[in-house]
Amino acid sequence: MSRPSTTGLITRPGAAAGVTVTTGGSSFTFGAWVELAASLAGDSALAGAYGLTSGSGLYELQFGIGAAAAEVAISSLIVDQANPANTGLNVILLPVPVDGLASGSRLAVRARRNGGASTVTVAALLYQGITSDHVTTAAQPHTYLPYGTAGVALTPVASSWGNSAWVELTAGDAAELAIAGITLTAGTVNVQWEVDLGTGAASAETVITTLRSDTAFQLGFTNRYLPAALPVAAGTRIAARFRKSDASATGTWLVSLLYLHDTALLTPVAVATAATYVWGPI
Amino acid sequence: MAMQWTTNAQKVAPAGATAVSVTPNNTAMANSAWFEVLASAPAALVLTGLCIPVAPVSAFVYVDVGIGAASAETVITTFMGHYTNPGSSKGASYIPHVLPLDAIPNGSRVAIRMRKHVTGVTPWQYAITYLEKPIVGNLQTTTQPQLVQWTSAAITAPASAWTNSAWSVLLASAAADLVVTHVAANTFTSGAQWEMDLGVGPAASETVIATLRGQRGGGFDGPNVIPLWNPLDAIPSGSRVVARLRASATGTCFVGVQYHQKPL
Repeated sequence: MSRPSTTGLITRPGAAAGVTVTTGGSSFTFGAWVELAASLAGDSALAGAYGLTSGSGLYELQFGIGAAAAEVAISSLIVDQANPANTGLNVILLPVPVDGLASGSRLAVRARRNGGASTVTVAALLYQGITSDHVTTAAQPHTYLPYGTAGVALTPVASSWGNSAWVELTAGDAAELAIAGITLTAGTVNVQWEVDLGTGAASAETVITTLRSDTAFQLGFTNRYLPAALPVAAGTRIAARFRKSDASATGTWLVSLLYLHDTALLTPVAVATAATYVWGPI
Repeated sequence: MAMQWTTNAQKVAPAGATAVSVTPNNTAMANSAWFEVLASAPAALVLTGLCIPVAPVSAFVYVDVGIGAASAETVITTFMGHYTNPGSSKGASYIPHVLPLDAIPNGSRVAIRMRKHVTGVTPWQYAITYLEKPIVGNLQTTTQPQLVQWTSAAITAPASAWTNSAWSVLLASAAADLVVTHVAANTFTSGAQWEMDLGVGPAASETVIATLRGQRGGGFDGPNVIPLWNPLDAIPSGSRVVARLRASATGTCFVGVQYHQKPL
């Protein structure tokens, strides 16, 4: 097993401004595909993106391969941007690159968000000939839950570091999934938070992992990734709860689960079988 | 395919509580005292990251994590970042230890100290994330500390759009084969898109080994660190390691790296 790669990142477009991608006119409606690379110069892996949004909110950048008007989605990158006028680097790398993009492929991106039409300036970050085996493919893509929405509401409690109630992220996927992390939309600023992810029936959840960060001013992208993918068996209910440093019970807090779909980490199959992937949660 | 995965639960310290307050040394680049994060590790631990929820001033900051009894701490790894006009207006700060650090024996006391390039004693705050051993799954860890380096001077992207700057030295000679886990770029011109090349080789013969890009939106930022989830294993021992910039508009910034020496 080896996480490092002897090949480094490249950008597309390169040595030029990023492409402008326009979201659809209504909430969570995709805009048109925009070309990032007409023809990849070698076998490639999608590693992530630079993207500066013109507005605030939760944005989905969906990457695809294929000729114009025939693009096939390979993964989605979800970002929450509260204040695009005051941001840091605006770069986010997928915790697991999406390998298998054949040389000569056309790479494109489209976007949607929880709001009306908006624009995002985007460039892809890629590996050509990645040597790491810490990769996924379009058959086990990056996606999120609840799909095509701004997240599940967490209701804060009026005590410092008091746990919220659990909220369901999924009743159970048809296949194993591997949790990559979360995106948290903050309801208040200057707050330190912890989010527990748990499995089990309602009122009987067991914590399976915890993520921690803060919401100083929610600048830039706020995805928080685990140190490695956390596989969860098919049919397993996943829920989230949170606690934070202040005692405010106000504000809208939203959480989305970032994951890899249809993995086989817990029960690897000895013989590969053909599978039809349906985009989005089943 | 050997995707990295584990079913171990990530945990935090302090847990369910405000992060540990660390009072900096008032002298630039002088270490603070050590501040305890965990009195006694409940098992052998693998460090997975550092939370920086409070960063009160603009600064290059360096954070050591150590183990050992009070007054006898030993540094096991170091993180770095840069903040501009932070106060209550910084980014949400979490810096992962991309290759989780397997260097905290069961029962260890874990502590943190910091230094920064400016004076001032307003406290910063820190918390850590970790996994308890044994690890179940397929997870590459390291026992090597994370090391950090910024360019000694800011790099200026030329006024001509997307024209390369001169190369700036990060390391004159790598002390071992190196694996880069994070790339950092501090405050660049607001609104300008930039690309950064990392390279190796003697002067006038540099070879690009990686390219990243980004854009700073406005007046607040931090920690300005990009984790490479697939660290870059392309720097042979003895290499001169360099960086350069090009951008849509002129501007200057420092470039930094966090890295490990091999063998991992």
